[in-house]
Amino acid sequence: MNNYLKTFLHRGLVFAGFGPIVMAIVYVVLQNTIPDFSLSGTQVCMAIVSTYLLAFLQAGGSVFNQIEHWSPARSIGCHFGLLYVSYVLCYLLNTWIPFQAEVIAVFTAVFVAGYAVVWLTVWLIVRSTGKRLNRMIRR
Amino acid sequence: MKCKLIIDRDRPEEVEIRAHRESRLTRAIERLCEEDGVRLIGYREREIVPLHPPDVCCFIVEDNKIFALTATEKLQLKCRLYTLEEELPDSFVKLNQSCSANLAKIERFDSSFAGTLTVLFQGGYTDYVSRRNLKTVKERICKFYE
Repeated sequence: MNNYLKTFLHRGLVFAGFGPIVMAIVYVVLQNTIPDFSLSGTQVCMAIVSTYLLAFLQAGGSVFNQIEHWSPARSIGCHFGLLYVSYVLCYLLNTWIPFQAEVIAVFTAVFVAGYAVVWLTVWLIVRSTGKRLNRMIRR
Repeated sequence: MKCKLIIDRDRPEEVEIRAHRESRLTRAIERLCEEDGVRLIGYREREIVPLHPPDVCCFIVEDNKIFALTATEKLQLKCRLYTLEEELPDSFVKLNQSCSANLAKIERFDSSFAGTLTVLFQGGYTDYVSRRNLKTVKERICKFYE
């Protein structure tokens, strides 16, 4: 089996369980803040399965940045695409957002902004590392 | 520090340093000795060229072939990168799966928009540091230039 696929599956399986845990915490918070908050068995089942898969894909997808023969644009594109599709599907399946073009557009904008902020942070950290290493070389 | 050279053809060659503590000088001497022990053979088309690791900016893999890049030329080597890396002195560090860099030949580091650290060598060649090797590269740079 391809090493990257193995890493994808390994990371996915290690971190997949965190999805339902986070979801359970959110549900507890909602129960304590919203009066008469209740869920059906189907809703709970769907939420558990979908957040498990979401966490699995999110953790496994981090391997895209390590595939060295891929161009940076390709790895960023695949990583972003995988996360975006899995998040949108998860939110729609659980009806956390309604299936309406305007809502999905807002969700997309927020998602793109969040992704951009994370990348900007990574870029700033890398830039600072580069500067530090350059200072060492010049010294 | 005093320096004594003894020419003795009957005994094996060795360098012994007696110092109060490890210093930049002792590390430089150790590095020189280590580098001197490695001799490689490069190929310029059909011509065989002796290659001295300190002259090499980096070793790269292109089309499953190994090349040594110096400041002025590109020579092919007939070995595997992982076997070569075992022989190379400590002044070389793996940047990614297909590049081993000579720390002494790095001109500067730059950050790319993709969030990776790129390395510019003295000969003008550029490669990147993979995230997997970033920690090791930082540690080796610190040790090399301290």
